[in-house]
Amino acid sequence: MTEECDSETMTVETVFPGGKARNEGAAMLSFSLSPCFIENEQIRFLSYVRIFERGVIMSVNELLSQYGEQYLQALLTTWKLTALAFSAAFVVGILVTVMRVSPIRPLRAAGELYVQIFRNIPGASLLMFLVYALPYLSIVWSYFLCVLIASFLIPAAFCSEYLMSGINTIDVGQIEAARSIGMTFSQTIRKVVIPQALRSSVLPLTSLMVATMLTTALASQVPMRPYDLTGLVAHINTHAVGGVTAFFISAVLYCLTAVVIGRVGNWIDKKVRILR
Amino acid sequence: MEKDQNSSVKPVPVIELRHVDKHFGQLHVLKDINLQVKKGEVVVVIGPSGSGKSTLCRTMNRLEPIDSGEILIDGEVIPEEGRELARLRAKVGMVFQSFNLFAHKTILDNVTMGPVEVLRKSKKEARQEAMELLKRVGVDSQASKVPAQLSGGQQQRVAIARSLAMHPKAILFDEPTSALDPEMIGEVLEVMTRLASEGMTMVVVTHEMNFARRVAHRVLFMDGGSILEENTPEEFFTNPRTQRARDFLNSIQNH
Ligand SMILES: Nc1ncnc2c1ncn2[C@@H]1O[C@H](COP(=O)(O)OP(=O)(O)OP(=O)(O)O)[C@@H](O)[C@H]1O
Ligand SMILES: [Mg+2]
Repeated sequence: MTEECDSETMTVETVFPGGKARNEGAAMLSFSLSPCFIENEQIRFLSYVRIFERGVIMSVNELLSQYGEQYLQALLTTWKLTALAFSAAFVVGILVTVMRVSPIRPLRAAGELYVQIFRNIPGASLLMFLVYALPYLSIVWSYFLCVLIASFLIPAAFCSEYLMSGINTIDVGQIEAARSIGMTFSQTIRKVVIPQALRSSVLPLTSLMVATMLTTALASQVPMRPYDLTGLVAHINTHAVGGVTAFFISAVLYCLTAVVIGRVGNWIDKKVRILR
Repeated sequence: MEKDQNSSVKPVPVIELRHVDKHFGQLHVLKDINLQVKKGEVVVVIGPSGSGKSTLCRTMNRLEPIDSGEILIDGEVIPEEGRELARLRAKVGMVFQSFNLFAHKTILDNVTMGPVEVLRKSKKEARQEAMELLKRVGVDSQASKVPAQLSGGQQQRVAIARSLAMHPKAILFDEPTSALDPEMIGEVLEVMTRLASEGMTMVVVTHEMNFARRVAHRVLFMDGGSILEENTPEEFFTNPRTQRARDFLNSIQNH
């Protein structure tokens, strides 16, 4: 079993063999009660018991010496999820935006529908749907893929919203000028509309990337291996008394990543901003 | 300046409108417009605000669709939306009141965009030609700047170069100097005058009466969506046939 839960949760795992045959035992669970939700509750309980027993929470140093390597791997996993999810959100966001401005009515409607749906559902619900409902349709994806999909479908809707507001800043005169020199609709979109919309949405897209990173913490809600930064915290707290400190280390790593993303975003924005 | 009709007049007009009608909702904005613009001809369109001058211009390359009638470019009927339309549109340049340069592109790239994307010229060839055109309109020194760094007059001259780069059969100008500070109007009109003397076919909507007098071969006076008068500039400005034209000329002279 590659996606096995930790030993403390084996009872849970045995009663609800969620990690393996999601289409059977796990599907009996309601969407909101995933095995790992239960796992987390157990962790919390066990942690309290241990704190009570030892009366000590591990220090940052202790945690890092014991789990340093795993933190590094979790950081890389979070980065990987973030990079993949944001790239996918970006591409899908552009496609949806092109649909929304196209002259073909059904395409426009489909684009609008996408945004209305995915802007308005919680990521956790989407993930539970992918993990526990799709197996009914004989679609069983890896936990990683489920987390990835849940973490890009929603940001893609926001990406499209940001691009649309970028498009609204473009003077229609420029679009008419493009058409008047014989550019087709798709040339006008590719060469005039989207480039300008992108240039004027760098800062919101930067925030979106940070938000996407935070969304990937959904991974902690399913038994995904290797752990992401949030999943690792849950794991540590089942084995040791990491407590708040374990959270703290992950939080610092999230923050540092966000700062880097923000810096890069600002730099890109300065480079490509359109003088008006 | 050569003001006579070009002696090598082609049998096929560059632009022809036949019984063109257009509504904006209830508003009948173009009423049975019939018009031929011959090769090398400069037609100036004059009329009060809201008379349909811009709409007329914009229908000529189908930025505005029409309700009925036909528009022919070089003898070909302008088709419905699509690739064919794009191809015919490229034959008619347009210069707008608000310049409408591509804000994210350099001046040079503004001029090469059409040749590269539409005419499929190589970047190198397009650049070379663009530089020559920019020189012709006197803004070659600004080639690597972006539009916002240029004055209005310079931007409008770039817009003219952008049109010329497509080797159009005709260029439509919709009030090209109306958004300009007075000191910049001259430089743009000068470029237009030069174009006219080089034989470019032009339709110009303008309030610059001196330009119309000097450069136009023909003046159209529009009011309420109709062409009320079609005349030579000398006749139109000294002895207009219609009362409306007379009133209009009086009203602008009093300003
Ligand atoms: N897109 C539109 N929708 C509805 N009505 C319009 C539209 N464009 C123009 N009109 C109306 O059509 C009429 C003619 O407009 P047009 O812009 O052609 O006039 P114009 O002669 O160019 O005026 P001006 O000298 O002010 O530029 C006006 O009454 C205008 O309000
Ligand atoms: Mg107008």
